[in-house]
Amino acid sequence: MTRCHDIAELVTAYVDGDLDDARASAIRGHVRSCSGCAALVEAEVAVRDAAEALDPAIDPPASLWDRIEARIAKEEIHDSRRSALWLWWQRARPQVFLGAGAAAVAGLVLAVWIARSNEGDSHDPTARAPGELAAVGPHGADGADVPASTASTPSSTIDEQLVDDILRAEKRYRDTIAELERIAASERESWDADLTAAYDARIAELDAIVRRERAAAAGGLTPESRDTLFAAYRVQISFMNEVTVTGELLQ
Amino acid sequence: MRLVAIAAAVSLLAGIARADKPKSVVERDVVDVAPAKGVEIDAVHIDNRLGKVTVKGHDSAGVSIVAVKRAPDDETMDRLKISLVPDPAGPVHINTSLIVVDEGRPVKAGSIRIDLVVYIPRKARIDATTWNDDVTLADLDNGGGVTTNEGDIAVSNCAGEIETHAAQGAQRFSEVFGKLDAEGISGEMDIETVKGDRLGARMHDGTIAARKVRSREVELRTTSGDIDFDGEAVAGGTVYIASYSGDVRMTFRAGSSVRVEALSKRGTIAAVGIETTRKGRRVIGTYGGGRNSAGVKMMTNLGNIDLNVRVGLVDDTAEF
Repeated sequence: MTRCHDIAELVTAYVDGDLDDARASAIRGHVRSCSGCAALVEAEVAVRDAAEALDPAIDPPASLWDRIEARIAKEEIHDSRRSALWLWWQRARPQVFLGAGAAAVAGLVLAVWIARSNEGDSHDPTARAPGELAAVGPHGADGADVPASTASTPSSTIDEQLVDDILRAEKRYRDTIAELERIAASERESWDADLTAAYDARIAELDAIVRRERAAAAGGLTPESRDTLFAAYRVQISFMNEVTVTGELLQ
Repeated sequence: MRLVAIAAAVSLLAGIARADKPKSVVERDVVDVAPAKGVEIDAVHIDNRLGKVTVKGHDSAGVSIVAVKRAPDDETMDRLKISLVPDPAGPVHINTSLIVVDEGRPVKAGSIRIDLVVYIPRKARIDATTWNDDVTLADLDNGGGVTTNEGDIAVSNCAGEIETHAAQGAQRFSEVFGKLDAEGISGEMDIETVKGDRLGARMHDGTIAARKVRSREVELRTTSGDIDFDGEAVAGGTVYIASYSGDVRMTFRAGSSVRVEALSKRGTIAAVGIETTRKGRRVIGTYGGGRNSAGVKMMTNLGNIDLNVRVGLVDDTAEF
């Protein structure tokens, strides 16, 4: 029965067509049912194709082969002198790595559990109790004071977090404007003509400002462009709130 | 073979269990800035997007900065910078940043921060900006501006013109004298003991509670969220309280002289201790009868209105 390690040993000869028909057939049969070895064969074919595609003008000096052969011979001699323990390790290594991988997963789970259980022991003088404040930023000390809703995933970087924060902040502004637009649409029937005209004109101005700031920030929000864009949103929200809530222009 | 694998797994687990939690590096820096001879520090601008900011007024002419920096390791700590730029004309600029290093490892979100406590001359105007952290102002005489995206704002014992913006977060004001304008998208506003020319508070989604207020011009607005106002209607002044869907409640002291107009399109209007007449959904009333009465306007589209008269002075803490 052909096994995976047989394929690994014979794959080069197989791809080069140096195997007899019986062994080649056995390998083909194994590859049909083993995706890992199929990938190995494909990789070997790719290497061979890439080697064949090399410029034939690139001809390594004859001395290079001599040095390679000498290096191989040296390593083989070195291997032949290794201890029995080393030979055993070569055979056992795949299984040990498999066991270690499983242990690592179990260890990770244990480490997370330990870390979580230790969080309650934090003595950070600046740390706030969870839920102490209505809204807390994502830059909590060691993440301890970050609400779940804004907590970053362990893999996220500060840059990714900042992008997420900006997108979330902008969404909040735009959602607020959309809500005020809905209210304005439902209330404008009760406005007089002057208020309606003034409202529409001002909204057109503010929309233009927001569009301009968004266009300016299209290449990537900097702190300055972000501040300007958000300030434009605030002005628009304040104006919409004024008219939709009071039904008049106060300013 | 299996024994070896199990032994390796057990030793690995034991190693992980013994490992300490990753320690962060904490550094505390104190910097004092003395003004140049003959120059007065009249303004301080603080831009800290990496943590919270606390500003306190003091009697000294200089600026003192206490910075607490946190980073996961020394290398990252070295990248956390606080720049201090004194302007010869008077203002001082304080900025924080994480220096970008091409070969630097990505910094894990939430692993760094810089918290600032800044002592400035009481007469200096302050402008403070944070990103997702709190801002606190105290003991300042010349007002200032505060902007934060997600963070709480607290202002106490301050005078002058004060303007605040928080997209999300609570805003608390106590003992503010002068002109206060606060606005937010989402959060709660708590205002206590505010006196001066103007009190403006606008919140899209959240409540506004104002107590012991004596400002000449009061304007409180929410889209959704109740508004409570307990204060004085200053002679010749105006009080405008409006919400789209929240309830509106006002209590003013008996010594005030007011003209009241209340409108609730779909809710109820209740007035206690004041003579009123109803015109459709609108209620109009007067109280006191002085010549220079304050104009009070209360309105809500979907909520209810309550108007009460309280016996007592605005400074009478026993009554308020």
